[in-house]
Amino acid sequence: MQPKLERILPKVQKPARYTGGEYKQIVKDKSQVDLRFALCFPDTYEIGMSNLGLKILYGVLNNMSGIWCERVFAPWGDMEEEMRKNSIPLYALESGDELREFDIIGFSIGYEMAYTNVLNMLDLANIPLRSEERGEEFPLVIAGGTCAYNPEPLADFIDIFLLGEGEDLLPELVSLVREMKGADRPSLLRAAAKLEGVYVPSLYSVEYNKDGTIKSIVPHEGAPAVVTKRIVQDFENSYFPSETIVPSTEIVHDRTVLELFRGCIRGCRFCQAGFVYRPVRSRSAEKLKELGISALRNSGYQEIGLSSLSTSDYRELKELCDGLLEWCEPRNVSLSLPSLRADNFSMEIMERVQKVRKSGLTFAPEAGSQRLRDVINKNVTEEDILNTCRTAFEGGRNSVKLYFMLGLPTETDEDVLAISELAYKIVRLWKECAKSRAGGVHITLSTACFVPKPMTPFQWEAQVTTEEYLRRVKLLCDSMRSKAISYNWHDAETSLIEAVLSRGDRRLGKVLEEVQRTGGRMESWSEYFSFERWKAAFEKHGLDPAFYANRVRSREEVLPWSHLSAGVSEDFLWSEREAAYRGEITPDCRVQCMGCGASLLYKGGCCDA
Amino acid sequence: MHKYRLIFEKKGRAIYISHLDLMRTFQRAFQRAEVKVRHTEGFNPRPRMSIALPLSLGMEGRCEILDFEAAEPLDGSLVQKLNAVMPEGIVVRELRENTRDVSEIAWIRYNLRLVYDSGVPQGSAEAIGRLLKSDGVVIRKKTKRGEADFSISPCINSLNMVQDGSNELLLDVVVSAQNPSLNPMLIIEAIGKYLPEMAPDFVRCARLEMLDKELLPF
Repeated sequence: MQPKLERILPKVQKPARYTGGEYKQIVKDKSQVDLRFALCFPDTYEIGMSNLGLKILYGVLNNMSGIWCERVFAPWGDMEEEMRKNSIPLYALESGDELREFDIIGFSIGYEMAYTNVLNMLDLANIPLRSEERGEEFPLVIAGGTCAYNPEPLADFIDIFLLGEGEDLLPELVSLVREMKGADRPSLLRAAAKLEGVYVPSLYSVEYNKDGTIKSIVPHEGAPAVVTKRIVQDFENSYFPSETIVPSTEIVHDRTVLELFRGCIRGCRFCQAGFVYRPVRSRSAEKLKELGISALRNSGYQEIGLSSLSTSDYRELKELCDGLLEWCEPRNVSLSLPSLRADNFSMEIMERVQKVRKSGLTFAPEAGSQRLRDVINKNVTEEDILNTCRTAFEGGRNSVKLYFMLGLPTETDEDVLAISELAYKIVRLWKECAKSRAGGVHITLSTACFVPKPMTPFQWEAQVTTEEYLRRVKLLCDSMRSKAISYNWHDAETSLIEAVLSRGDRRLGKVLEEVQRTGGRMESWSEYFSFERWKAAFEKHGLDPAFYANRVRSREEVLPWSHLSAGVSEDFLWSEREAAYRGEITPDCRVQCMGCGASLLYKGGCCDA
Repeated sequence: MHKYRLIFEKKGRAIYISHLDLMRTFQRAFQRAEVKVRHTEGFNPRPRMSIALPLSLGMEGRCEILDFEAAEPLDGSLVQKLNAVMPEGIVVRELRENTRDVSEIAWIRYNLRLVYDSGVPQGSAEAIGRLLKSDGVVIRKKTKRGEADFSISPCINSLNMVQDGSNELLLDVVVSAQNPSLNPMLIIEAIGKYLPEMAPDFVRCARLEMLDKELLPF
């Protein structure tokens, strides 16, 4: 550890986040490796260490001989201040070496509000932010994650984006970089662009129309016209991190995570993950049980969580839970099942799993009325929700959490008020069937402002303005007078910035740079988010957030991500959008294949739907 | 009942692991080593283990104590088994039967290394030694009911101060362990209050030994 760190660690909150040295961290002899990779997560240690993707990539890279991958997280404000004051550049946890000593800096970016952290981390590492300002002596800066499906706001800063799942693609790229050591950067970028799933933004030029929309996106120097994401072909046997670093300080998801399947059969029209992670591929229960038990043995964790976009849709869920419980129960290891659907089958599983502690129930109906749920293709009915609540109340539970979005396409005031009607129905239901009325019932309603996302059927939609969102919040708030119901709503301004960045173009690079320069970082944390800072940056660079957030796009418009593909065809997305406006639901992939196009990513296979 | 005591060290990067996190770390290490620890009864079973006299964050410990109840008899091979699954900096030294209550710990020996970036001010060792031996050294101490004046001299059993090189003073001190305990960093606070020109730029602190009321090793 650097001597300078010893002086500042006693002054900061939770210093164990900044030391490394955890059980199972991987240390290699740096004089013996060919290439050093700094795996960066643009948020705190506690969030990053909970991320399954990061664990996978850390394992995959370190399994390559001659490659040493280390971890880097964004420091909290107090630590950043001390680091800047004492001239301590951002360093990797395993070796304590600063980022400039690495060959590749790779960011895993899952949400837009982390963009300023990406820039801030480069800045803390004394690395120029813009690709064009980084000479050959600086590391190659790459990025992947869900944000890579429209990475355009970051195009000026990142040399290479990786689209899709990284298990296969990242080692391919890293091997290429190793082979081409000594070659100049332009040759490396040109060679990288030939790998399937690699997007090199500097090889594309973007021209704009007078009205600010994009005129064309033109590839150069042999770069492909469309970059399509990569997927893992054999998910059953793909790398699973059954030996993970066990943090010595508490993190957000402090447990073993078992990934059941990728993709989702449901096709909720607002959900980016539901479209970009297609096709559906799952692991067998037998395999999962083996992986889960070995991960528990290796980590000593007392909890295992099943992870997927919709756990209830896992075909062998019952067998898997039984198999795991058999091992877990005698060892006081608990099993948690997030992302369950509101149906009887799921309740049955939950009762089986939570024999002792009854936790609260959480649902995400997303919309209050059946009409609007049909529009977004959220195939859950009021009856499902009420039946599940009934079972829960009869089983002695007294609290329910419900998540909704406001501002969904076609939403009317009636739809908004349907949210409170549903909440009141649940309160009445509790009065009818509660086991004991002592203590009362607690219904927690939360609403977020809908953010239209790229590569979904709603990618052409306008976000409602912050004023309109807040009017709907007030409408909903005023319609509820019960002490049993509490209502929280997500900040409107954060949602606006999210909407701008998620469908933004390259011109936003200047805005990001300005926000970082004026102190923007950790913007997903309300204590750090400043809308004023964003507003000033937009004004300075003559850009209007409403152009990005609140404008309906036509079918013909060239979208900033038109040259990128997650495998789902644009025609399919548009037909889903039209079905939404007709209020028609689309059956899930198991009922009927709608030919979205994602199965073509599966070489000679078909999805497990 | 299989009541045991582990003696362990906490050093290097591990000195920044907090007390609660250290408890979790041991729970997981026990699980990894497949040691069956007895759990409490009830809705939320917890392993029966406790760490005596938690160490302040950032201090090194060479005589740390963890008491636990095992579901089956254990032997000395546990030490090796645990060390194989520990994070860097936590080293188990010894497994003992737990036969003595930790309330018998009366004194603790600490080593404090006072670092002066621009050299130790002349006469500091003597002046600080005199200060700490005198009566009436009072500092404000946070208690459960706000702040109170706290006289530190009665809590110091013995001390020895020597200069080590041109930039460091080494303070070897035995202070009371409980009722009341004296956090050795309060000694540094007292230096800052009474001899501000001799306040060090940085202090490294290590807990060396737990002693009973006869000043014999616990």
